[in-house]
Amino acid sequence: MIQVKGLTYHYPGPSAFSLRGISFTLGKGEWVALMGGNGSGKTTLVRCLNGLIIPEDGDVLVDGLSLRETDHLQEIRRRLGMVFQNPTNQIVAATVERDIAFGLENLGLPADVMRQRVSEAVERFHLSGYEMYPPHLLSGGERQRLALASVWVMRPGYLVLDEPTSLLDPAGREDVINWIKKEKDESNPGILLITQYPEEAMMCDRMLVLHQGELIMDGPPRTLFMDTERFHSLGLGVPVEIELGKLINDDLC
Amino acid sequence: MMICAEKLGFAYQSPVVPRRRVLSDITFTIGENELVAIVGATGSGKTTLIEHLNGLQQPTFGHIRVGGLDLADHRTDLNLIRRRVGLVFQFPENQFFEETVSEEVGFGIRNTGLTADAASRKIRESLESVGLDAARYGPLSPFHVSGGEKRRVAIASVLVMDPEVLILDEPTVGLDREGARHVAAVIRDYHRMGRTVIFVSHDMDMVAGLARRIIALSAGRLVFDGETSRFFRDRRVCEACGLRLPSVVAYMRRIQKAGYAVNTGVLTLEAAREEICRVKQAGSHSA
Repeated sequence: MIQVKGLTYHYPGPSAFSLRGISFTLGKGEWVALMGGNGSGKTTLVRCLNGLIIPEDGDVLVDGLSLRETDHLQEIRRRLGMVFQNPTNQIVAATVERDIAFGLENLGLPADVMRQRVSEAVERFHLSGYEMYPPHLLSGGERQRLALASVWVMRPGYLVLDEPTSLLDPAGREDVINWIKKEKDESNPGILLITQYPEEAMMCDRMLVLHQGELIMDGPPRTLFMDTERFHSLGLGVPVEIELGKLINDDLC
Repeated sequence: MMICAEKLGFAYQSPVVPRRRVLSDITFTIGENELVAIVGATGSGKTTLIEHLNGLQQPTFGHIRVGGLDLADHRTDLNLIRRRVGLVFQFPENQFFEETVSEEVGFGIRNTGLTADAASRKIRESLESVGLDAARYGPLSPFHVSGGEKRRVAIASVLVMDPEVLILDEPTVGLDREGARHVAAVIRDYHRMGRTVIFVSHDMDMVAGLARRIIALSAGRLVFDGETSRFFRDRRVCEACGLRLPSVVAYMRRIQKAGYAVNTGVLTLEAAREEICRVKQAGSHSA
């Protein structure tokens, strides 16, 4: 389980964003959406989860391992896989295949096991035929799939996905969502999905909403979205089926 | 200013990978004051296509003509073309490097012979045209404004050149609803000023609400060129391109199947609201 306890962080500088007293848990097998406007602190929160940013106050425990113990950081990062919003920022190798293998190489796995896992990842993320391509010649969507493949290949117990579908076309988005569903069935990781698409949040078990660095909602997405006005005032979207469904069901015309 | 693609084809040439054909046999003309969305699956060639429209890429086959000038002709002044055809890249804020929003926006008009007063007026107008107050935002660091504001600063830094054609690659990606609405308003306003705007997007809700014309690519080929409403009329065309119907259209079709006699041709949330209320009121009158 990931336990986030009273997380607080201020960026240096006058107009910086911060997190204030954030607490929540993410269990194995749970699929939780995180929504919030631009600048609400989503990405800062995500960076605190695996110690890229060390919070000023509060703590994060990943399966009981505290982020505040420097010795734990490597193990925490192995258990918690992270896919960033702009995949170019996390691609490190000169070819697709080497990029997927990069994390595994540091685990000391036998070469044949590594080869097997890389080729599974290539197939699963529709990158067959691109193994020897330099990543900068891939399209934005292909790069996003590469970033997902490079994290998936490490078999993390938790996945933190920062808008993993933002560069994908609608069919590609469906692919990623179907992949998440398949992951849930097969290896049951805990998943935190940061998204601007309310339809994606609707598929999750639970939804968190951040606003100006504070956690202001935590509950089942369908229930939370019923307060459409509140979402609009936060600059967030509501699924069309709820927005228009309310017109049909209620006397609002 | 007309933009014409004639049998345009392009293949990336790289010594390390096999030759990869990205665009094939693309022909279209975009006239004055059009508002066009270029859509297609990831990897279908959208970004490569728009990079041809101001000469960043040169066609391997065929021609691109902008304002009658062939961009592959060595006599064509590409610097002039790039001033007239402004291109906003994906995640343009990643390219910020100046210390203040004003300097970032003003970078493109440096050394163009404008007086300091004229330059600061242009900077102010550009910021205001993207809905940012120049007095408030001008002195701030472009790195310290919100994600949606950064995107608008990046657009302003292209608008400052006053391009006749504005091209944007995925202008709302990564923005929240409010940020995306602001960017859509900038596009709409620039088009209303009589300019041509071309944008690439896979957000079908945005495309449906904004574009008058759609050019759809599939595996580097042009598979549709026509009115927005016609593109979304046939789900199969959309799906064949790896796209989906806008959520409003999909919802209206669903409730029509469930027995509501709604017009499924509406493309925006506002129009859908009106349509549902119209049908409900007509139903209550007849009841």
